Amino acid sequence: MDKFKVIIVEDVKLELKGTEQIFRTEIPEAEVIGTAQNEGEVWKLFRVAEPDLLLLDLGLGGSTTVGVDICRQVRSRYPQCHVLIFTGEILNERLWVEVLKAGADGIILKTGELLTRDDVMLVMKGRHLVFNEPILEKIVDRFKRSVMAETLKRDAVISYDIDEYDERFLRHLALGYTKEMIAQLRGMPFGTKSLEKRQVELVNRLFPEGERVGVNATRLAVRALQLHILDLDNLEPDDE
Amino acid sequence: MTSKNYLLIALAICLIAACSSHKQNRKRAEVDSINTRAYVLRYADIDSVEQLAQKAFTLSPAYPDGRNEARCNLAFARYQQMDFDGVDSILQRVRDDSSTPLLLLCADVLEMKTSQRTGNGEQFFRAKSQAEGRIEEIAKKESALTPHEVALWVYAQSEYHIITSTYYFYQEQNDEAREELDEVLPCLRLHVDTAQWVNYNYMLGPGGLVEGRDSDDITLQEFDYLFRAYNTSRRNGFRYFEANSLQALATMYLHNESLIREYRSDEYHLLRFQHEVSEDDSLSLPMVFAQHALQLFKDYDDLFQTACAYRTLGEVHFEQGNYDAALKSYEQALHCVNVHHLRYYGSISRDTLSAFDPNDVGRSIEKEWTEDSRISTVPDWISGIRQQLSLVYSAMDMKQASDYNRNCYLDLLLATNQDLELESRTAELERQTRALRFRMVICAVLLILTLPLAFLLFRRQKRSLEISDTGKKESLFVRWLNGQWSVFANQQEELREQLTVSERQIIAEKRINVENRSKVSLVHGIVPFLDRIGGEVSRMKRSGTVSDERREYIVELVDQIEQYNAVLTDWIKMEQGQLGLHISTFSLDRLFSIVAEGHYAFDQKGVQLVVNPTTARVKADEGLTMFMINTLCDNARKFTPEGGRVTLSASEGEDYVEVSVEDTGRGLSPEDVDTLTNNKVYDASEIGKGGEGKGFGFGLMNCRGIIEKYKKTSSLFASCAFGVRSVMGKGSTFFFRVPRVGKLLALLMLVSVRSIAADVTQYYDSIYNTNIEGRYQEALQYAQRCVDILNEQHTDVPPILLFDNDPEHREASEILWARDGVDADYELIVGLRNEIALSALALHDLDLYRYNNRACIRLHRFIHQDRELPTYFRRLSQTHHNSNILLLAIVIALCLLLLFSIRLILNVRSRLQRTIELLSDEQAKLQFERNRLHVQNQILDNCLSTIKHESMYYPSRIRFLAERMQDADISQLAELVQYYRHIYTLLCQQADEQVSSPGFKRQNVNVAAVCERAFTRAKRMAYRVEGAEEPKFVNNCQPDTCVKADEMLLDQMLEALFSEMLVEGANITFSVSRDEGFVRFTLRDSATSLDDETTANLFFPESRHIPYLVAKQILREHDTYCNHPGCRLVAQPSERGYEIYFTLLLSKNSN
Repeated sequence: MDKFKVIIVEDVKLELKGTEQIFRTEIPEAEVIGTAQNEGEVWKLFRVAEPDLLLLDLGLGGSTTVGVDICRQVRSRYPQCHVLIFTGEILNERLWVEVLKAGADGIILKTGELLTRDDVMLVMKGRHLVFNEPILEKIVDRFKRSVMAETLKRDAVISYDIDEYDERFLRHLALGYTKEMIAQLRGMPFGTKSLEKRQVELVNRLFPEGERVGVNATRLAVRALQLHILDLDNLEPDDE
Repeated sequence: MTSKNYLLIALAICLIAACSSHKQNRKRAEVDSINTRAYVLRYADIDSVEQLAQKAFTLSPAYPDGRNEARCNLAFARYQQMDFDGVDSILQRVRDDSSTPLLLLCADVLEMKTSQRTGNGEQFFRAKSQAEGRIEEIAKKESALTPHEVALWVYAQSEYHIITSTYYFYQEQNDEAREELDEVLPCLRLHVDTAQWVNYNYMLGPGGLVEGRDSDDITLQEFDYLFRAYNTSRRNGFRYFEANSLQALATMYLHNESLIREYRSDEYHLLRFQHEVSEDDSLSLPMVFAQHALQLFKDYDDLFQTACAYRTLGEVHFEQGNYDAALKSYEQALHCVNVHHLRYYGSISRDTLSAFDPNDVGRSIEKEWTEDSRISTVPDWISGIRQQLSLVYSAMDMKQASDYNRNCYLDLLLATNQDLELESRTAELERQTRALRFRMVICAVLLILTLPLAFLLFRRQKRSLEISDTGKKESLFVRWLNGQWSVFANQQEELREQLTVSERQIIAEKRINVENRSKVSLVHGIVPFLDRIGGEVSRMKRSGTVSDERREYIVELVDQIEQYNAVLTDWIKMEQGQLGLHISTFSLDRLFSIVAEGHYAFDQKGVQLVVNPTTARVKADEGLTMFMINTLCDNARKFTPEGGRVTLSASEGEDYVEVSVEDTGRGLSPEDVDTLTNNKVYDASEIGKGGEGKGFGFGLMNCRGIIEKYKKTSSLFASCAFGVRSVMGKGSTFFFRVPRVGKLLALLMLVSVRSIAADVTQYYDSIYNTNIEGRYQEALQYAQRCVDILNEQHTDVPPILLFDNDPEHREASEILWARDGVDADYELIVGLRNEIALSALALHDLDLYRYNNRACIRLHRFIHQDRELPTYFRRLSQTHHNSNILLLAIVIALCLLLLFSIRLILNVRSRLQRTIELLSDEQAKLQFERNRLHVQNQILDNCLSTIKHESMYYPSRIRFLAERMQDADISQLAELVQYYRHIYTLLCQQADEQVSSPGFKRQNVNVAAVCERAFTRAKRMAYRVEGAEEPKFVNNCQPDTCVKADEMLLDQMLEALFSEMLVEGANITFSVSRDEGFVRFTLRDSATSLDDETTANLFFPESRHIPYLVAKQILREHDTYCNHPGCRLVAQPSERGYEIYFTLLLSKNSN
C-alpha cells in the first residue's frame, strides 16, 4: 500500500510514545507528520498539512469529551481525512455512539491488543465501523441478546398460546388503553365483555396457579413484557 | 287548726332538724377524731392506721371529706407496705370522689412519695406541679380553715417540702434539697405536728445537707439532729423514726464514734445506757444500733426499711471484717426485696433475686423488673444492696460474684437515669397532642351543630360584609389558628433544623464522595499503562526476542504507574481521619425490624425470613451496620432455594454482639470459606458458584473491609470480627461482631471516636483493656496519666485527684468543674472513675473504691440530672391553664366566625400537616441519601486502601523482571503482567460498583448566585495567602443565566480551582460569560506565569495538583449526567500569566 500521512492526537506523553512506536515498527507505510496534545495544536497541524488519517484520543487535558468535537469538525472541514478513535474510555458507551455520529470511521479501545496494523489498514482502505476486540465483543453480545429476545418472544407466543388478538390486547393494555378504547380498535372485533373474558383467560395462562389472585391489567401487561410476549422496543399502538 | 297549733308544729320541725344536724355533727366529729388518731399512729403502728382508716371510712358514707381523709390514711398505710398499685388506685378514688383542695393536695403529696420511691421522675413532677397549684389555692383561704383542717394543711404542706427535698437529695441536688427543707419549719408554726418535726430533724441527720466550719462540725451538727429525732420519736412511740435514726446513728458511729464521745459525751452515754451497753462491753454500739433498728422495723412491719436495716447491719459486719455475716445480712436484705416482689407481682414473674448464681451470670432480674411497666420496684433500694454485695464478694476474693453484683448495680443506675427527660417529654408531647385533638373534636361538634344557623346568618349578612373587611378577618383568624397549631409549628421548626443539619452532612459526604470518585478515576488511569505493558510484552512474545526499546518503554510505563500509585498513596494519607465512622449506640432491634419489613422479596422467592427479636444494644456505625445486615440477608436470600429459611439473629458475648444470618442453602465448600476468611483479594463472582447460578458480589468483601476499618479506628473495637460457618449441603451462617454496650462504658457512646482528645482516649482505652485483662495496678497507672492530662488541659481549676481523703473536700473536683461550667469531657471522666473503681475493687482498696464510685455516680447523676424538668412542668401546667382559657375563647370565637372557620381550619390543618409530611419526607430522603453516601464513602475508602496495598508490589517486580529479561523470560513477565492486570481489574470492579450511582443532582443553577458565592469565598481565601491580591469578578452574563449543573459540585469545583490557583502573589480575575450553548467560567492569574508544558499537564496525576483532579472529575460527571458531552476544562498560558476555564451547558430557560 502507498504511504499515508498520520496525525496522532494524544495528551499523555508516554502513551504517545507507545503509539508512535507501534506505527514505526508495525505500520511502516504510515508517516507520522505530527502529534498534538490539545485541540489548538490539532488545528495548527492541519493548517500545515492535511493528513490521510487522524488517530484521535477523546479526552484531552481536563476535558474528557473534546475529541467528539474535533472529530465532528474534521469530518466537515476535511472530508477526505479518515478518523480513527483511540481512547481509554472503555466503559463510556454513550461516548462511542456520539463519536460515531460525529463521523468517526472506527473506535479502538486502549485495552487488550491496543492498536494493530490490521485496524489501521482497514480504515485506510475506506472501511467504516472498525472496532477492536473489546468493542466487537460487546456488539456481538448485544446482538445475541436481541436475537435471543426475538426467540424468546416466539417461544412465548407458542408456549402461552398467544394469538394476534391476545398480543394486540396486551400491547394496548401496556400502552395504557382502557378496555373500552381497545374495543374500538379496528383490528379488535370484540366488545368489552369479550375482552374481559379474554383478560381472565390470559391471567390463567400467564400466571401459575396461586399467583392469579388480584392480578389487574397493569400486572398482566407487565407479565407479558417479562415473558417477552411484548417487546418493549416495539411498543407501538396499531395504525388506525 | 289554730295558729297555736301551727306554731307547735313549726317548733317540732325545728327541734327534729336541730337534733338531726347535731347528730350529723357528732358523727363528723367522730370520723375526724378517728382520722386524727390514724394520723398520729402513722409512724407508730401501721396496722392500727389501716384499721382506723377502714373504720372512719365505714362511718362516713355521708361525709365525703372524712371518707377521703380516711382513704389518704389508708393510702399511707399501703405506701408503707410498698403496695404501690394499691396506693395509686386509692388516690384515684380520692380524686374521683373529692373536690376539696386540701384532700386533693394530700393525694398529690402521697403520689409524690410513691413516684419518688419508684424512681418515676415524670409522675413525680406531674404530681408536684398539681400540688403547687393547690397549695397556692389553699393558702389564700388559710384563715377559713377549721382546726382539723389546719392540722391536715400543716401535714400536707410540710410533707410536700420534705418529699421534694428527698427527691432532690437522691438526685444529688443537695442545694435544692436543703432549700426545700428550709421551708418545713415555717409550715409547722401553725400547728404542732411532732411527727413532721421529727421527720425534719431526721432528714437533716444523715443527709450531708448541713453546712459547717469543718467536717467535724458538720458531723456533730448531724448527730444533734439525729439525736433529737431519735429521742423525740422514742418518747412519742414513733417506731419508724426511732429505727431510722438508730440506723443512721449506726452508720455515723462506724467512723465517728470517738468524735461523738468526746464532744457529745452526755448524749453518747445516754445512748449507751438506753441500749444497755456498758463501757467495758465488747459489743460495738453500731452493731447494737443496727440490730435494734432492725427489730423495730420488723415490729413496725416495714419491708423496705427492714431491708435497709439489714443492709446497715451488713455494713457494720463488713467494717468489722466479718464478711460471712455481712453477706448473710445482705442476702436477708435481698430476701426482703423478693418477698415484696412475690407479694405484689408474683403473678407476673416468679423470678427472684439471688446474691450470686453462677448459672445466671448474664441475666439481671432486677433490670427485667425495671423494664416491665407492670412492676413497680424500688431501683435505689436494690442497687444499694447490690453495691454492698459487690464489695463484700470482692473482699472475699470472689471476683465473678463481685463483678456480677457491680454490673447489676450499674444496670439499675443507668435504668433509673437514662432518658428520663426524654421519656417524660415524649409522654407529655403525646398528652398534649391528645388534648389538642380533643379540643378539635369539640370545635368540630360545635361547628356541626351551629352550621345551619351560621349559614342562614351568612346569607343574610353577605351583602353587608365588605370584601376588604372579610379579608382582614380571615387573615387575623389564620394567625389565631396558627397560634393554636403551635405544636405543628414547633414540629415544623424542628424538622427544618434537622433538614439544615442533614443538608450540611450531605454536602460533607458528597465532597468526600467526589474526591473518592476522582481517586477511582486515577486508579482507572493506570489501566491503559498496564495494557500498554501487556501489548509490548505480547509483541515481544510473538517475535520471540527482547528488544531494548520495548524493554525501556516497559520500564518507563512502570515508572508512570508507580508515580500514579504514589499520588494515590499521598492522597489517601492526606485525608486520613477526615472520613470518620459515625459511631453511636443503638438498639439492633430497630434495624432488625427494618429487615423484617422487607420480607416481601423473600416471600416472592418462597423463602421464609425469620427475624429473631433482640434487646442487644451495640456501639457501631448505624448506617454501616444496616448495610452489612442487608448485604448478608440479600446474599442468604440469593443462595437459599425455594422452601428454605433465612434467620437473622443476634447473640451477646462478653463484650460483643454477634449478628448472624443463617440460611438453609447449599453451603460453601471449605475452599470458599477459606478464601472468604483469609484472602483479601479474590474473585467474588467465583465464590459460591459451585456449578450453578451466579456467585457472590462484592458485598462480603465490603463487609470485611468495614470490620477491618472498625479495628483500625480504636481499640474499643478490638472485639469486631467477620466470619462464616458453613457446611456443604446444609447451609451457611455469616456473622459479624460489634461491641456490646456495657454498663457505664455506654456513657461514652455519645462521644464520636474522633472527637475525643486523642491522648486521653488512648489512655482511657488502655485502662479499659488492662482492666479486662486483669492488670489492675497497670490500669491505675494509666488512670493517673489520664487524670494528669485532663488536669494539664484545665490548669485554672482544682485538679482532679485519683483519691482525695481531705475532709475539707466534700466533692470531687470534676463535680466542681461541672458546676462551674468548665468545658470538659464529663462522660469520659465518668467512665474513667468507673474504671478506677473497678480496679480498686479488684485490688481491695476500699477507700479508693468508695471515693471513685461516689465520684462516678455523683458526676453521672449531675450531668444527667434534668435541671429544666421542674420549670418545664411549671410551664406546662401554665400552658394547660392557658389552654383552658383559650378553649373558652375558641368556643366564643367559633360562634362569631363560624362560616370562615370550617374552611380555614381544614385548610390550615391540611396545609400544616402537608408541610410537615413533606418536610418529614424530605428529611427521610436526606437521611437516606446521607446514609447511602456514607456507606459508599466508607466502602470506596476501603477499596482504595486495598488497591493501594494489594497492587503496590507488582510494578517493581515487573521492572525487576523487565530490566534483567532474557529472551526466555518473556513468558514469565507475560504471566506476571497478566496476573497483575487480573488483580487490578478485580479491585477496580469493586470500586466501580460503588461509583455507579453518584447521586448527581441535575438542576438549573443560577450563574450569578453561584459565582457570587464562590467569589466571596475566594476573597476570604486570598486574605490568608501571603502576597495574593484580592480577586476581581467580572460577570458578563444576564442575571438570570442558568447552567445545567449540580450546584454542590459546582461550588466545590470553583472552590477547588480557587484554592489551587491562589498561591503567593497571585492576582486572579474571575469572569463568567456565555459561549454559544455553554457558559464559560474563567479564572485568570495575571501574576503567575506557567509554560505550555505545565499547563498541558495540570490535570494529570503527575502534576500532583489534587484539587485539579477533583475539578476534572466534577466536569466529567457534568458531561456524563447532563447528557450532552462538550463541557471543557482547559488550562492555557495567557498574555500575562495563565488561565483556567471550564464550560458548562447553558440551561434552556436562560435568556
